[in-house]
Amino acid sequence: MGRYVVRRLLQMVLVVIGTTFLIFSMVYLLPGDPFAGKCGDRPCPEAYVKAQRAKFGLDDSLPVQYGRYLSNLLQGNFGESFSGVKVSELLANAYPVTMKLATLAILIEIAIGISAGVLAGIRRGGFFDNLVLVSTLVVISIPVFVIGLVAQLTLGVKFGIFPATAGDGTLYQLVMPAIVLAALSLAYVARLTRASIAENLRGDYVRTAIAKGLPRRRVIGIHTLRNSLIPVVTFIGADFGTLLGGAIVTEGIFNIPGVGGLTFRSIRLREGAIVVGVVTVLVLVFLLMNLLVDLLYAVLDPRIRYE
Amino acid sequence: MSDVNSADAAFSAGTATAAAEPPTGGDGASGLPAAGEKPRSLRGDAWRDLRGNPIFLVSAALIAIMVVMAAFPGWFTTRPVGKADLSLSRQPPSSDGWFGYDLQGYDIYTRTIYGARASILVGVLSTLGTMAVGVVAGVTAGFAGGWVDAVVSRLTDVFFAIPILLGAILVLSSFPSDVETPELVIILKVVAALVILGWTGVTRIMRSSVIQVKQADFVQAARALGASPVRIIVKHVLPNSIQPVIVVSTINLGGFIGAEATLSFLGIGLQPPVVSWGIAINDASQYLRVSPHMLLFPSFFLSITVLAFIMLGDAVRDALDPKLR
Repeated sequence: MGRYVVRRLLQMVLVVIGTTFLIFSMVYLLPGDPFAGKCGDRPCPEAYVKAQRAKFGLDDSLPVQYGRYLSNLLQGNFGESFSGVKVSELLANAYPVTMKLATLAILIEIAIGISAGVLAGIRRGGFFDNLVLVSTLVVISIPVFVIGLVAQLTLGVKFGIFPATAGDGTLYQLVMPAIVLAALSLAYVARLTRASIAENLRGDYVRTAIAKGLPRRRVIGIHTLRNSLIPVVTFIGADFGTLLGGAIVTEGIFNIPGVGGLTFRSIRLREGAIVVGVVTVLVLVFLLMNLLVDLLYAVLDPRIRYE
Repeated sequence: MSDVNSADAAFSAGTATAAAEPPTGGDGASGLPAAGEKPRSLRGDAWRDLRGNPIFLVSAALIAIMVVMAAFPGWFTTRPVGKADLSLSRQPPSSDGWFGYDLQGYDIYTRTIYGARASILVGVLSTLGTMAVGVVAGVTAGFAGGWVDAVVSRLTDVFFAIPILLGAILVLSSFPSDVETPELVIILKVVAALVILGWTGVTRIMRSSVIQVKQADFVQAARALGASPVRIIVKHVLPNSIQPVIVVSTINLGGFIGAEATLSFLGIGLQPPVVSWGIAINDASQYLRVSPHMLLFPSFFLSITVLAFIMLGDAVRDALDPKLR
């Protein structure tokens, strides 16, 4: 177990270095001048641009710039934006909001998705099963931004059930955006749980449990569900990273001051330090979630051991 | 390797039954043929299944309509796509303009018909692109094993860790388009962005599938007979390991069409002069409260297309996966 975790963490270091380098070189490629339009109507004075480029080392080659960034990062220094704001400060402001949004979305996914999947899976071909199949297909096929816009207009503006925008990022304001963000994955979780439950219900151990005379509730809730959760947990773990990234659209629609908006703006403004910082944290969260999921397997299925 | 190979095993479990499918098909006859009846391969069996499946027939018909629409938009509408009449701006649907008019006074029906081309092109080309890259990388990693596998797998991890939307925005920002850029180039840029970020899924599935097939007896037999690695891959490994990829790719196709619309919605994917559903939805989003019809029709067509590909993928998987029989 310990050795396994250490090995995974070492692999993770490689992936983080690879990903940050990839993002760094993409940002390096971004066309345009980061100092265009920074000085009002006039173009920036040449001396200023020169001084700034020297300060941020923009004239160095890609490997040199990346090496410097990485060594700063190892000391916990995310660098600063061209306007002199510390990137760590921007991240500290934006990440909690997005984390709240993504966590809320995951909770919705788990609560609704898994229960719908279980109910559909135990009666394959029944009315509820067909209802779940059809409604998840509909949700999967409608793009998230259309769901978001329509939810905002109907639930937010017309009926006033939820706040139409979430400018402060409070928990209550985030409920509707979280539902919208969760919608697609919710549908996948429900279908995955359904398929997995339906397959496991045919297992010998389920027949044994029924033959032993265990109550149905226990057979399904404990024996079948626990064994069926592995693919679902895998999906949810990988989904956390996707949700953080996919928040770009949801945050845009609902005006949430989170990571998505920050990234989008930063790419447009060529604020390389912010983009790379955001992605680095994102990738770290994603990889740690995946490690956590892999360790969860052993809890769910005792046959899986890490030695 | 004593551990349950981490993320890769996880992923093959995660993509539902498709990746976990046992290697069957071509080389092994499926089931015992009745006397006098020609033995059918799994593929023949699957095809027979599909022909009788109403979901498959409906989705195939829908896709056929969309493809014809993309290829010959002139068959569906006589109006020129570039004709706008500002005095008709945001007029609701009427007998004259069936779907109404958008902000610029374009006929939404005509624009929606013509919008199919860009969306289908992006979907099909991105799927072919990810399949090509993914199959080559997956076969290489799975068949070669050892350090080649390690390098490809870590590279896959690197790309897999970047959310597709975020990465695509970065790629498209690196190669911006403007009004002067030819339509096809704009479309190819979006395709490139989606392929660069999207090849990892196919690679992982292909790799685990190849690893399973590699241990099969018929591969050992071919090797013992002295077949070259290339021959083993082309004749034995590929035909028996590609099924999960075909299933996932069909489902992905719908996803790519959705991703294109999302990128266009963010104002960074396809751009005018290209006519696409995503752009139309983006234009409509600001007038949703007053003219909902502008949003309704393009998103309806988009959803139907995505739905058709997902249903097709589901039907193909059900037909190919003997476990669900």
